[in-house]
Amino acid sequence: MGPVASVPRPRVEPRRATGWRAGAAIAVALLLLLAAAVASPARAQGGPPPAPHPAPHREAAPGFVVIANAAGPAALSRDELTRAFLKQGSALLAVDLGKRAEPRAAFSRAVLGRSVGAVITYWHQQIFSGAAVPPPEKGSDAEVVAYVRARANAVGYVSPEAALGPGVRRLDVR
Amino acid sequence: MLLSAACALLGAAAAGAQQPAPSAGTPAAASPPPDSVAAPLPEPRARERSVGRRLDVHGYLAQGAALSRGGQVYGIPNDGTVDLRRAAVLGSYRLGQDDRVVAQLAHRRVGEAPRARMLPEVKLDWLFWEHGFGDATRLRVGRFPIPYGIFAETRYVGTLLPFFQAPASFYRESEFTNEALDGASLGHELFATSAFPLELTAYVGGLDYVESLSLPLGPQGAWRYVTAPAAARRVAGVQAWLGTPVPGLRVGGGFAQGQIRGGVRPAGQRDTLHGWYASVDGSFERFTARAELIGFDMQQYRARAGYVQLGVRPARRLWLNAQAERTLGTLRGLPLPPTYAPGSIRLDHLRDLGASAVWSVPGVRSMQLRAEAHRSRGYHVEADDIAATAPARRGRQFLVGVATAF
Repeated sequence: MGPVASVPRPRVEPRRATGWRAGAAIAVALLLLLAAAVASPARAQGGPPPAPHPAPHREAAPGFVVIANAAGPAALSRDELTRAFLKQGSALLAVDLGKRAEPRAAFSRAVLGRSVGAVITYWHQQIFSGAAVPPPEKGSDAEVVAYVRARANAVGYVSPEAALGPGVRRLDVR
Repeated sequence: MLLSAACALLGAAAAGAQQPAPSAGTPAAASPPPDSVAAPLPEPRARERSVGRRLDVHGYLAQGAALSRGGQVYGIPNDGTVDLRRAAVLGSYRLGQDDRVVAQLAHRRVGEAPRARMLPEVKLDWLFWEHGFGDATRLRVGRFPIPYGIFAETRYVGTLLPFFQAPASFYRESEFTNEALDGASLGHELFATSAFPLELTAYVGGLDYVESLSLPLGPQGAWRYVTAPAAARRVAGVQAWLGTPVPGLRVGGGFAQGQIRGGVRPAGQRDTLHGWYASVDGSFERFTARAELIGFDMQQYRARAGYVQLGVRPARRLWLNAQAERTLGTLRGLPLPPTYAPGSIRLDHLRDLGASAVWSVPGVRSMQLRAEAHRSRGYHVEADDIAATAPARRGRQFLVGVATAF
């Protein structure tokens, strides 16, 4: 293999690259959009796992309650919950409900500050870059409660009417 | 060797790896109870010891159909192809709280691209062991994705891409494949809870890959697309990502170098590559804005390339994207005719303007349909020679596709 060494004799002048007019125009548009982004940040296709978003400040939003093992913490901040559910350096074991569960949609919006779809995209980025895998998903409130009961450092969320039973308690979200 | 190492690790796990205690900083009350041989475990803990509870399996598929007008680019011929496909199955096996083994098998088809004949039907894409030192430091050993810009590690995951392929100007998909490294990497995160989290990764190793380039090797110096296997050794690089107070906005950069042999260079000749890049990545709820610039220098080839990519989401399930990219290459140090600039040819290697629409299928999680169009100009045409006196070839490419992941 030696293609480079056998260059024949072309009969042309050197080709010159021309300017970046289209690129410059798009760069200007990029800067404008970035400025607008500061006003309405959120989540998108592709790209990096974004930083946790400030969630609306309201206690245990309607549609879900956060639960933990009775031996675990009594209260957690939204930031701590976000770090647990997005596996960003937390020792807590998070457990999710299924992607279509209504409490999951409410929890995602109120605590994680993003839609379930955005969370799935986040996890696809983590999974397919080899970085991490998502928390386990359970099909019902009862399964989440059982999971949390069996693990001292587990944390999850269920619908407000779910029966918790012994060994599991409702968590205050700061 | 990698397979042997993985089997050994998996064997050790199956023999009964213990759940390690939580790392330092974990509240005592949150620690799991210690395992005991004598006492029966609660039923869920026992189940967790099984392979199924430690193994996560995921996968993705992206299929495209495309045709070109004006010459074959990116494996897309004038008469069209449906042989554009990326699929992979990834398994992550947890050995303990701080250790896991990750393996990915991949199948990729690149249409009529000359490098297609050099790609195996199925390849072991990744196989690495990862160990965490606390929450902030990760060590990987084995074959792992090269940390390189915004898309390198997820460059084939269709559901994460605005276009069917990651920008070729930066990720060089049509020129060489460089997505995995055999070696080791060490990643560390600083200031994780601050407004400016800093993620640093350093890596060393080597890889075998396929190299392609348009060179003036045809009759009368015509531009010809040549493809050959190459190897990079003694590769070393670093990457840094800096978060910002704007959620979703980060900036990054990196540097890499390595010894190259084979490929399109003369037999037996080696080359040293030095590369750098810079990235700006804005990923937001309703739009994206990304730009990356890369430069790499070898003895006989030097390139500067970059792209700008914008996306807007006018409706909940619809993304509209636009992209402009360009590569400028300089051949140098070659025995070229005097009609060329002394010792070098500067060429407008490829320009591309693209637009795409990506629609998330309702009722089906993580399935997207896409349609995209590109206008290209340059000498990076794969199927036929471009006469030396001819202007850069202009072409258009059209693609429709579907992507899903689980």
